[in-house]
Amino acid sequence: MIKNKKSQLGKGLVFVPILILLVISLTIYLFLASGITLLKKPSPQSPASSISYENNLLLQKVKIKINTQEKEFTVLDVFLLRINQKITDLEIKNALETLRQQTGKCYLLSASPSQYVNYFYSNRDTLYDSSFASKTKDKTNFLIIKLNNQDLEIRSYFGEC
Amino acid sequence: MMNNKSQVASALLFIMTIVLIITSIWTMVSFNSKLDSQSENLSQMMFEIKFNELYVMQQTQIIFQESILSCQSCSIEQLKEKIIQIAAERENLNKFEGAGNLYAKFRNSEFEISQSGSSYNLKINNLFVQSERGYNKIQRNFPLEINSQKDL
Repeated sequence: MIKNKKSQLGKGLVFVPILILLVISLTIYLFLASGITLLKKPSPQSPASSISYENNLLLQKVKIKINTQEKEFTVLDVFLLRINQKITDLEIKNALETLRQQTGKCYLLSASPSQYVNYFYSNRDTLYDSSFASKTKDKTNFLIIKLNNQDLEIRSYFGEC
Repeated sequence: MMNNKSQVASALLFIMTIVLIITSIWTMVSFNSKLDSQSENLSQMMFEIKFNELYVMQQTQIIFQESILSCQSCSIEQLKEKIIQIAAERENLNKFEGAGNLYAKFRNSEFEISQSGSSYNLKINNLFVQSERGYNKIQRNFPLEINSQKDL
């Protein structure tokens, strides 16, 4: 009986510092885990910007001459015709300028089908015009299409000047 | 002797706690939180699907309008032939892959035209557009109906 009481007392005496150590280590763990959770927080992309006929340049209708006949096309089709060398630079510029005059909106359209070729059309200077550059920054649409079995990224903006 | 046994049990309890803490901290630290690229892909796919659907609508309107303008005194059958011809011309000129099965529908004459008074109605069923990124693919099916007076 005395032996048993002694062993119980011994057990208790050994367990108390271990218990304190456990509490300390679990507290440290709690802080570490909270810190890591904050650091390792996943940052998902915001959902795709809302798209409609009005705010997308590539879906606008413009007229250009093809085989001496004036026909209506979407800006995307006109741009692809330009990339495939079926229309000239001047023709696409005129079509986009007419669209700008009709709607009063500014535009930006660009793509690099190869390392050496870059198509860029805009009625404002995005490089030196900081106010326009800031407006286009978050409202530029990126569309990746397949052209000649290669991915082509088309950048477009249509809105406030 | 009893004291030693209890010391071993308590020490094991502490050691196991430390091992579990280190393991879970390691798991958290090594977790790849860079979900941006996956999320960007999904966002881009959703944008593309919506864009392609709107493109199909615009393209159908353009083809329908051009056909009506160039075939003003045509019968329904002649207008249908004209639509097939104009769609083929546009497909040869510039085929955008995002148009889904639009041109196939015209080529196979899988569309209906009806006339009510001075307006024409074009109806195409089971159109689809799709977007793919790696193993992910989204396909959207939709019908399309255009009225020459209301929509053009």
